[in-house]
Amino acid sequence: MISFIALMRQDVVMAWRENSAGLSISFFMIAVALIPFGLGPDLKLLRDIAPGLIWVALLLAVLLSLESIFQADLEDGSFDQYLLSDCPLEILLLAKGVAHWLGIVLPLVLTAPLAGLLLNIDTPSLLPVCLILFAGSPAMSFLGMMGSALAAGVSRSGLLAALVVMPLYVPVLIFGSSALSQILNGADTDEWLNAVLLLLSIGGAALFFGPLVAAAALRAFLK
Amino acid sequence: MINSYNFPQSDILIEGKSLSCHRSARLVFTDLDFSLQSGMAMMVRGANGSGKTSLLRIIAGFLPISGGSLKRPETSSLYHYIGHQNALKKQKTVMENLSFWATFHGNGMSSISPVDILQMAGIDGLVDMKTAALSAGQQRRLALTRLIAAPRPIWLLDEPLNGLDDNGQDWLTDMAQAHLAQNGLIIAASHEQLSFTTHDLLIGGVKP
Repeated sequence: MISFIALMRQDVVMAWRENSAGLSISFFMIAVALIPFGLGPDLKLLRDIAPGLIWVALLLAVLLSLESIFQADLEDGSFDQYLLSDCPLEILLLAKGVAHWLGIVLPLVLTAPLAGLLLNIDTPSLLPVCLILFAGSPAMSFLGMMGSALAAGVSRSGLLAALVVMPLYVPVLIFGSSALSQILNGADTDEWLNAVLLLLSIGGAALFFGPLVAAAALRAFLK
Repeated sequence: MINSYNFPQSDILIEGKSLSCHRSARLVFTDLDFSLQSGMAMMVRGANGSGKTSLLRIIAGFLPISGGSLKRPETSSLYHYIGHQNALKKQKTVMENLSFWATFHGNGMSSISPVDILQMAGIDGLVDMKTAALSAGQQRRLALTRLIAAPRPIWLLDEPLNGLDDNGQDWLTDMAQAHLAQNGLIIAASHEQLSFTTHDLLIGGVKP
C-alpha cells in the first residue's frame, strides 16, 4: 500500500515536471481552437460537429501522453525496481494508471469547458458535457496503458502505442459523442444517463484488465 | 557502524548448478556452478558480453534460466539490484529520489535518516539539486544509497564502481563489509577488483 501511494504520487508529480500534462492540454486546446479557422464562422456548423470534435481532440491529446507511461521507467531502470517490490506488478501498474488519469486525463477533462466555449456550446450544457467526458476518462487511461505496454521498448513507441490504442478507443468515441449530441440537442437527463453508465462500465473493465494486460506485456518484453 | 539491522533470514542460499542462459537464440553462458550463503560475497568476472549482467538478472528473477538449476529465495523483496541504469528521475531532486526509493522499498524502514545517508554517501551538499545536474559518479552514489535506505539481505551489484572515485569506492567497500558482517549476501559483477568479495566466479573461461 505504501509503495502504491508512493508510486502514484511520483507519477503525478512527474507528469507535471516533464510537462506531458501541459503538452497534452495545449495540444487539445490548439486542436479545438484551430477548427473554427478551417471551417469558417458558421456557428451552427460548429455546434453540430462539436461532440465528435471534442472527443477526437481529447483522445488524440491522451494518445500523445501514452509514451510517457512506461518508456522512462524502462529506460532509467526504475522498472527493474518495481519487479523487486513486495507489491505485485499488476497493483503497481494500477497505481501508474491512476496517476496517469489524475495527472493528465483529469486536467484535460477539466479544460474541456473552455474548449466547449470555443465550439459555441451554450453555457448550461457545459457541465453535462464535462460529466460525459469525465465518465469516459478512466477508460482512456487504462485502455491507453495496454497499448503503451504492448509497444514498450520499440523505438518511437508513442506512435506504435497510438496505433494499437486507437481501435480500442472506438467504443468510447461512439458512446461518448452520441451522448454529447443528445445533450446539445436538449435531451432529458435520463436519455444520456445510459451513456454515462456505459462509459463508466467500459472504464471499469479497462481498470481491471488494463494492469493485467500491461503487466503480462511488460514481463514478456523483459524476458 | 554503518547501519544497525540484522537479517533474520540468516540461512539464505543461492546455488546454481550447471546453469546456462540463452538470449534471443544465442548461447550466453553454460555450465556455471556456484553456491553462496549468508555472509558471503561473490565477484563475477568475465569479458564483455560474457553474461555477467544476464547472470545477475537471472538471480534477481528478471530472466528465466534455459538450463541447469537455480536455488534462490523466491521473495523478491529480499533483493537489491543496482544495474547499469541508476533508476533515478532526472527532474527530481536528490532528496526526492532517495526518499522515494526509501518509501517504495522500505518495508524494513531504515534506522538512519535520509540526510545522514546522503552525508555518508558524500553528497549531502546536493540535497535540493535536480538529479540531472549531478555528475555520473554522484548519480552512482545516489543510486547506491538505496542499499542502506531500505535494508535487504541480498545485494546484486552490476559494475558498482562505475563512475566512483577512490573515496566513493572506499565508502562502498565499508558499506559492503558492514552488510556481510550482518549476514548479508552480495553478488557483484565487476572488471575491477573488489576488496570485499570472498569468492570468484569466472564466466566464459577468460583467464584473468
